[in-house]
Amino acid sequence: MDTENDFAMEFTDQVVDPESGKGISADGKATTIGNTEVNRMQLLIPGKSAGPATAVTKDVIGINGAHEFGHVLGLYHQKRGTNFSEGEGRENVPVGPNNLMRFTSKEGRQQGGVNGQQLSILRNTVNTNDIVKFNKQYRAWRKNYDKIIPNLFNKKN
Amino acid sequence: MTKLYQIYLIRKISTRNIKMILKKQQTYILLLSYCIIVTILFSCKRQIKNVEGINKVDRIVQEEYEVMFSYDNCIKEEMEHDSLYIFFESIFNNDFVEVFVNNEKEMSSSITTDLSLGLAKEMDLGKLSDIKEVSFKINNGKDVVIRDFNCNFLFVGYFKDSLVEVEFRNKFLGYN
Repeated sequence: MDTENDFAMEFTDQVVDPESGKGISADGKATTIGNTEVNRMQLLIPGKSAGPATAVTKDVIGINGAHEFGHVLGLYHQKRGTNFSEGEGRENVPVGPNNLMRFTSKEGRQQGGVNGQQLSILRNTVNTNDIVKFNKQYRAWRKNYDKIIPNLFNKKN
Repeated sequence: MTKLYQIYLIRKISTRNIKMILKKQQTYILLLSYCIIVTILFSCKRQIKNVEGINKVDRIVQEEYEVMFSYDNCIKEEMEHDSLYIFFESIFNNDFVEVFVNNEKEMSSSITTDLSLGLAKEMDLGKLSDIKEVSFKINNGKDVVIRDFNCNFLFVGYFKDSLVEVEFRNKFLGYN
């Protein structure tokens, strides 16, 4: 895997710290928050355990994967002791008890989905420069097209 | 003749004087340049000392925080592991942490929380049966001492300049 260019989800028997290469007590990790072009999502396979934790079961793989995708799309955990997001400029985004992006703690694993504010962050993250450029070009073309077509029709009429 | 001799003498003396003066000037110049060089070197040394001083002062700064302990229902007989683990979670941002086990330094480094995990540093502190005391301090603040080990896992949360939370648990879920 080319970690500097690839965007990949990796099913592994040990999640490692991408910088040091050392194993960490995690059952999933996204290398960079908010990068939809180059990223590495690691997911621990069922039967393997994150350090001293009990082994991961099949039923949590889906939610772990979705959680890591959430990070890739720009979402953070809740700030410690609050129900609001971490991350600069994200302090007002609610991350309630039943949220996909909840930080694993004694309350248990994540459950539930994402809320409206988180969805708008996802949309903004996916709106990469290329898509923005494409949308601009499309709108410009559409503007011209909208001018030309009625004129043509008017001439015919 | 005497006049001529006098003139000769005066000239000789004046050239000698001039030479002497020049020599003196040279020594003055040499002395002055030596002084300048020494002052420059001394000031450089002082600057380096100051920089070191600043670093030291930064590290010496004693942070003040309150410590809050919270205990899960840990029962010794139900322990799944024989080891004691400590996890420094959030929110560490290049904060200097020292960890001691039985008064021996196990770790001293600056740590930062990885926001994609909510974890800054994890450590296996060794066999519980061998551990009598664990302590740690953050940014040279007061020692947080733990002597009661009914749980396998210690979780440390940190709010800069205000609060250190230590949570004791017997269950651990992998970070993600």
